[in-house]
Amino acid sequence: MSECQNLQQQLDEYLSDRISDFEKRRIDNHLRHCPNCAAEVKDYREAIDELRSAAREVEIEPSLSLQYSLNRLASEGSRPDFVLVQWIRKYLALTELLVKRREEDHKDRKTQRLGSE
Amino acid sequence: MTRFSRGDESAFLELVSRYRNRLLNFIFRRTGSHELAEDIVQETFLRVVNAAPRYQATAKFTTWLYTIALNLWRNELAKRRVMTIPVETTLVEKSISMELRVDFNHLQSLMQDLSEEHCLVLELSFIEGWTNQQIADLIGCSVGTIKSRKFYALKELRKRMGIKNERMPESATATR
Repeated sequence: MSECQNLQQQLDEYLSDRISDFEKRRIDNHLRHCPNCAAEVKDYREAIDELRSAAREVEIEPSLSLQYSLNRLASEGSRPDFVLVQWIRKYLALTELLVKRREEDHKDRKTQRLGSE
Repeated sequence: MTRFSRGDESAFLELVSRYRNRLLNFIFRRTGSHELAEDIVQETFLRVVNAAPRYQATAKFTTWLYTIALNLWRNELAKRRVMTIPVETTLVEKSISMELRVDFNHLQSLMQDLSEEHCLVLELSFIEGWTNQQIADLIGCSVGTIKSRKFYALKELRKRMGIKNERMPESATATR
């Protein structure tokens, strides 16, 4: 198998850095001698870099309503990691609501069934 | 997740702190609205809480989490289509920082001609660092298809960047 074919077969692993040191050295060495393959890899790398820079991860602030609740909690002297605490509280409250709603639905269906009998 | 499904609530706290920001960013890149992204992520974790007692570690937790979030986003999109409100104009918020808005618009313009699945493959692969197998599990296709889509999408991206590549042999061109 030619070195160019070897690169094509392992291009995905090479670009994703999921390749053994031995194979990486082999490809790096090939790229130093083959302008076509070097240009192809360079273009892929540029596309990946562009994607990564446009999609860089940012710390997204909580929404205004959540911030308001958090500020209130903070002024009440709650723990500093209140973001997570608030999240958990919200989930638990929502879960309770959901369970209640299901129970009510269940009751309604039962009443309807009794009524139709 | 296994710990949480057994009733260990502190494990849930760990799950939220580990995945919240990543998932928020991932969904934000689809919605362009951080309020909507936050709602979707919150609903995702709510579903995790509800499904916890029935959770079985058959699929990787991350794949499961992202599947829930993606489905919620697709439902949201479907709702908006029914309401015939143009998504582009309603989702974008003015409150987002200019920097974030520029990045978001740039990303949108790079991805605009790609299908949702091609975008997903690119993002999950090069931004989230998923393996081909994980992406294949999420999308529901073979690893080979993921690889082809990845290279097709990368080439399209490069075209958008204005890089003309006539050097690449046709044989290396992945099929869609």
